[in-house]
Amino acid sequence: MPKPVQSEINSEDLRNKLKLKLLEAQKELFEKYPHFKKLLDEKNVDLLKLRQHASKVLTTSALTGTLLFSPPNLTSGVPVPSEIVKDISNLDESGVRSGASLQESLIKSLSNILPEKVGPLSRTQEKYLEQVFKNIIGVNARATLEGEHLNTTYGLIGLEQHLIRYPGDSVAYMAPGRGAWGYFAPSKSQLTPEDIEREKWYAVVQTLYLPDWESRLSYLRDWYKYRKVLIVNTVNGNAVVADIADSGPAMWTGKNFGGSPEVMQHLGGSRYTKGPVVLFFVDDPENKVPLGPVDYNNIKSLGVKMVEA
Amino acid sequence: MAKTNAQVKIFLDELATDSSESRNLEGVIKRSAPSEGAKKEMDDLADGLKTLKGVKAILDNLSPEDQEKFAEGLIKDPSVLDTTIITGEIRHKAEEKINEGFSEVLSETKVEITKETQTEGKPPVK
Repeated sequence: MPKPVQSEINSEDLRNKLKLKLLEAQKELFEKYPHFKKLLDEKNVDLLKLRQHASKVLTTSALTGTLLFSPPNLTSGVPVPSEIVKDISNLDESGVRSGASLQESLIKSLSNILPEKVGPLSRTQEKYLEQVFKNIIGVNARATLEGEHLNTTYGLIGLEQHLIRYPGDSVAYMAPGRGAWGYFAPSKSQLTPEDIEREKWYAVVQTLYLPDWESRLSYLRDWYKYRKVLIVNTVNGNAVVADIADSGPAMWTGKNFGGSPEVMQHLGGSRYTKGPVVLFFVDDPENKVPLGPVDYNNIKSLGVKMVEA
Repeated sequence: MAKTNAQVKIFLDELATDSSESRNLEGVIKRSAPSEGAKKEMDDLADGLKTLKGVKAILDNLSPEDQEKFAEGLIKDPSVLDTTIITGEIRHKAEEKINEGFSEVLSETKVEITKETQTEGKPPVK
């Protein structure tokens, strides 16, 4: 969470205005539709909590699917494990599938495994995806790493601004506050090439909404800082390895992840501002996986080209 | 097609996800919140505002019969809520109302959308 920055915005004014607007909206709704209010009261339903409640249902549904090894309704299109393994085993030693590009294979696999709408996946689906990413993209990625798991691994990513790297840093379209983990370097002279890469290829995930974020804050804050993630655009198969450097987006925006301008550019091209992606942790204990676009996208000899989303 | 409770959430979440108003409000909350708790509180308020504006706009644009279906489905049994009654046009109107609400908050808080807070548009790559 960024520390307060000097600004003309008064937090208390903003909070009060939001509260006032919310009460006005509630009044307008219930005055115009009294029967709607009556229904809410009868069923003891808090409309403002409806979406939070549904969010829990969604997470529980995915978890139940995992525990029972029985994919929920969302997974009806998932092929049986043997089909996935057979599909992947068709790749030869160099990872090339005859008659189809790697990117086409990836897109096909994703469409078989993923539900139509973004949302939490079952453990079974995530396991399939781990195999697909390992075999097609060549990155060892995990939905759950060292016991840590995001609230969702399949969601919408949105465009983020550049983050400030050191005190006094200034570039066009830079976010006014610091990222959740502060500056990348204490000063310009101490900015390393690694820091530059970290900002360039940064990702944003909703650590704020993790159920154990507050109770395990000191551990999780360090665990997530600059944690590498594999982000795969599920529409065109473009993939990027990024590092987590900020917390967000706010749940009410409907987005689940964020990407730096470079990340978004690579995932979907110059006009890409939002789209569905799968985001897994990269299992890279020796720190060998570089940040940035994943090589498989650039293997021109295989006919793999960047695809605009 | 019937939608589950969870899908209702997705449906409501998807409204106005990437509008400039939504992005600006998100940026302003993030920028001004003095603590994580304060940010959460303001995010919850924005979330509530979005739900109320969205639901009202949907009801405003449905026939009395479909209003009944929507309200009862939403409240009594979200597992059978049929969101196919919400056409693209209704969805668009709901998004307009949500964005209008966000704009009012920003303008009435006298938040000037400066170059620093403006998040609309495509930032250049470094």
